[in-house]
Amino acid sequence: MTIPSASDPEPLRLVSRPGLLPDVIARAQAGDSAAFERIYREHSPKVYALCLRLSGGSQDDATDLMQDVFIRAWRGLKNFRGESAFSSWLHRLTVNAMLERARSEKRRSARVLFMDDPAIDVAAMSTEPDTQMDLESAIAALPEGARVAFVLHEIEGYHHAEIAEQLGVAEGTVKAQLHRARKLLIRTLGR
Amino acid sequence: MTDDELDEEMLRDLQRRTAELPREIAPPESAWQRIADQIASEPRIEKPHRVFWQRPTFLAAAALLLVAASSITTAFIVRERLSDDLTRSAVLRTPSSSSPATLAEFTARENDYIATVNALSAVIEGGQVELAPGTVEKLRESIRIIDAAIIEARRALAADPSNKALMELLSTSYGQKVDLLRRTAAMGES
Repeated sequence: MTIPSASDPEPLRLVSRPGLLPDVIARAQAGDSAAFERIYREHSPKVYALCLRLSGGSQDDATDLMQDVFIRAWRGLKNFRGESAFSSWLHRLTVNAMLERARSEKRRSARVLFMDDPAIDVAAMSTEPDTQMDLESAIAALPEGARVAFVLHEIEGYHHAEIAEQLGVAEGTVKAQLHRARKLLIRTLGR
Repeated sequence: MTDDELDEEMLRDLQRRTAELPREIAPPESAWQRIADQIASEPRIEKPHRVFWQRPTFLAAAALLLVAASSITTAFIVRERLSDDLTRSAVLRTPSSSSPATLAEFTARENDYIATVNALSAVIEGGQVELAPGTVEKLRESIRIIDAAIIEARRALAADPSNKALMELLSTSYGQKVDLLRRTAAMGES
């Protein structure tokens, strides 16, 4: 639809939540598992891609995380009021689920994880600087904090402040991790 | 080439390559099963905290609101284009307008409505229709009201699946939405 005035720049969207009709969400909210499967079929490729990258490329971990996300979504659907796009709500659930896992893993293994992990020198990346490497593999090989910042900012398109809020860290930390991720990737991927 | 220039170039290359990464990756086909099993073992118990939809006054008010919303918008659209657009042949078939007798009948009809709404929305959002900003606002507001009514009534019907008044209200809501969308889409055919 062409809107002939600059006073109304927002495009007309007739479906209030792009991609899904409101009634599908309402049906799922009311307990209709068939409607929920429809939501899963529509959103799972995007959620899985995010899970795969946040999980460092492990398909098993990504599948497990994605399943956890959709089970949480089912349980929490009644709280979805439509103030944000459904995909944004699901995205936030995914990041939260990943963070909980990271914290739980940290408690279990006592290893230092995530945004507070100590500076890992570029040289710590296992590949030789000039070795060509698949970008997905290089992202997967990043230290967790740098990887999460890179995935959320460069691939998912979130602003620094949004990532900082989601992760509960300072914006400066996100920027530092992002800078580190880029340097590591450039080094790893070579020229 | 300086180190800084080299870094800049490498960064641009990295960003270009990152932008080409797929945003969607199909999960394993078997992944849904565990989710399905889990949610099947967790029946959702809805609290009967809102029963207002069972009151005739709510149903009457909701129906009136729907009619008012789409009528106002239709008036705007008609005023904008006083041609015979609106009487042209239907863009897509309209689901039956008679009242559904059972939930199964209603569900089948609902699927028809959803398909029709999707198709009409695609036509309108495809850039074929020009409307004045005021009409766009009215249309957007009407769709929002109708969608809100659909969501509310659908929740109510899930809690009270045999309520024929709710099925009728939902059918009316869908019908209003289809009618509104069809009238809008028809303007693009002139």
